[in-house]
Amino acid sequence: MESKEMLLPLPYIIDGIKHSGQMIEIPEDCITCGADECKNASDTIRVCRKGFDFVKTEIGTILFGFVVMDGASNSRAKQKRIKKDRSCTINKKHLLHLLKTISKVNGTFIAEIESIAQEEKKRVLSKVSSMKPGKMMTIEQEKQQFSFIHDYRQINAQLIQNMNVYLQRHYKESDIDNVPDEYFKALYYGIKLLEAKLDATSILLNRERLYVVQNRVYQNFHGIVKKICKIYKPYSDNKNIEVVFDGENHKQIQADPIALPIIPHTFIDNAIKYSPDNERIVVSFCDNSDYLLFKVCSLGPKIENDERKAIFEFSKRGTNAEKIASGSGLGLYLCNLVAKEHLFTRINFNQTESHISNFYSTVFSIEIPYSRAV
Amino acid sequence: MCMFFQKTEWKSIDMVQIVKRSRILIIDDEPFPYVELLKGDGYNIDYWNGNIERIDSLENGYYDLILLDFHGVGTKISEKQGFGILEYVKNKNPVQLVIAMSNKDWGLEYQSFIDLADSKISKTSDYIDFKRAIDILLEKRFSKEYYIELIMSQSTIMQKAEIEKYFLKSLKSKKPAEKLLQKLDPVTIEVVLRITNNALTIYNIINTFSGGR
Repeated sequence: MESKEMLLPLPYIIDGIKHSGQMIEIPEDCITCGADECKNASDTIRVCRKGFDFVKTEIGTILFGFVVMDGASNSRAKQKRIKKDRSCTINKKHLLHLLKTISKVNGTFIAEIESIAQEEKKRVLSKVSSMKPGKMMTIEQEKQQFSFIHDYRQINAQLIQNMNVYLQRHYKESDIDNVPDEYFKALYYGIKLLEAKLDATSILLNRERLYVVQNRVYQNFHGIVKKICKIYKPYSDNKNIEVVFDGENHKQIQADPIALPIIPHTFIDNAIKYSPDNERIVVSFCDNSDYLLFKVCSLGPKIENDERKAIFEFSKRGTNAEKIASGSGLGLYLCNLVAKEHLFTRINFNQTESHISNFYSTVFSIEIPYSRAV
Repeated sequence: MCMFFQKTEWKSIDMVQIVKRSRILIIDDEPFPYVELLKGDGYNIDYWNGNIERIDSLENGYYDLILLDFHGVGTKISEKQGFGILEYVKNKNPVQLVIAMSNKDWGLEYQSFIDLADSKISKTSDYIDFKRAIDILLEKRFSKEYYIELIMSQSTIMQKAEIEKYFLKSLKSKKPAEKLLQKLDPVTIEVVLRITNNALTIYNIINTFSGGR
């Protein structure tokens, strides 16, 4: 009989068979381990003699082969393990989040993901297509329905490539910022903005991508944000908004190159969109030992108390935000999705009164772990 | 110096020479404007408009690097289009370096194919990023470490130093060292033969260029 498989970030045992996780593979020592203490796991997190933590989830699946850095037990074997290999480490916060998420599903993670994706796609479809209500489509059919996105991407690729050829031939330049023609620059960054929007659509349609560990690469986050600010420059200039950078970020972040930029894109896009004219937006970075603290501070409309959760939901917008500018209500939803499902963190925000009535000093922030489980 | 005592050496050549000496194939069913820029920068480029014109040149290491699109490519020979071509190429010649060009929208069902590629690049990347991705892999193709690491990935019992010793012996004798093959299981011998033959080709190119051993 074939063993069931799950999309879990940590190594796991199901039907007595060990599987690698999406983020942490089965450690060599666990493959050769004869004791198999983990097979007798309970719902208490325990440490095996090899220094790995293991625990049984509510649905019976056992998680093993990882080390909780800030866990209760601090055995010598565990300390040795941490010293030897940090790639199998995870924070307690992340483990508890994972256990909570697993307990919510009766089946497999993939089933959960597909059903959520199905629901959301159904909603999108009912808005943008002529699909009859009640007619259920398979994910494959839905992807087919949205295959025009691929054509848009192809057109966009042609635009970017031809612009690059023009850049090289006429300006003998590789760097767009050295081009004196502001219209050419605006055109270039306009195409880049379109690319970002198509990337966001990709995540919406291929949500499973967030769980694929192979697509994670190290990225210079500071550089990404700088580029994003250039993309939005025509918009900030139009409102005479000054965007300033604060702090440092030298450590790279391991993440999907399509998913990660969604967060700064949304933060900056929203900040410019909802800020009054002639104001300032502060984009700040702060490197910590395990994570980068990224913040965007600007003036914005009040987010009412009863809307604080809803603004992260699909297609939901704050009532005061709706009065200022149009939008799809997808930005923060996608941000939250990437933060929770891909980076194992969350988006925070807070607001305080400002010098302009009806506008609040708004800070959206996120603690982004530098690499996978740590 | 007496030839007998001369050490086998893998010389390094600079990027300009690597570019001059390498052959790149681009397979894309859409126009690919960067072809002319790459040619202008000295790269030897062949461009196939989505059709697989000569399958043997994908298998025999004729090209140092292949840039492969996925959608609409090789439709006549593979239902899986570019994904199928990539799988075929890597099966036949694991040494063949391939950059997967994509519009970043492949589904999870194709992830395992995409992972076979040595590098991935979005078709919306700027020219400079394409050039960088190409240069990184060409440099790899002309480096000794690439082949040693490939052999290492095939052997669980040999250490790097041992592999390097036999690898250099293979280069000197112009054929894979017997002792290297003896330490491998029959399944991996064929792969290692391909790796060493590819390495020999590159070694000869480097030596021809730099005036003999």
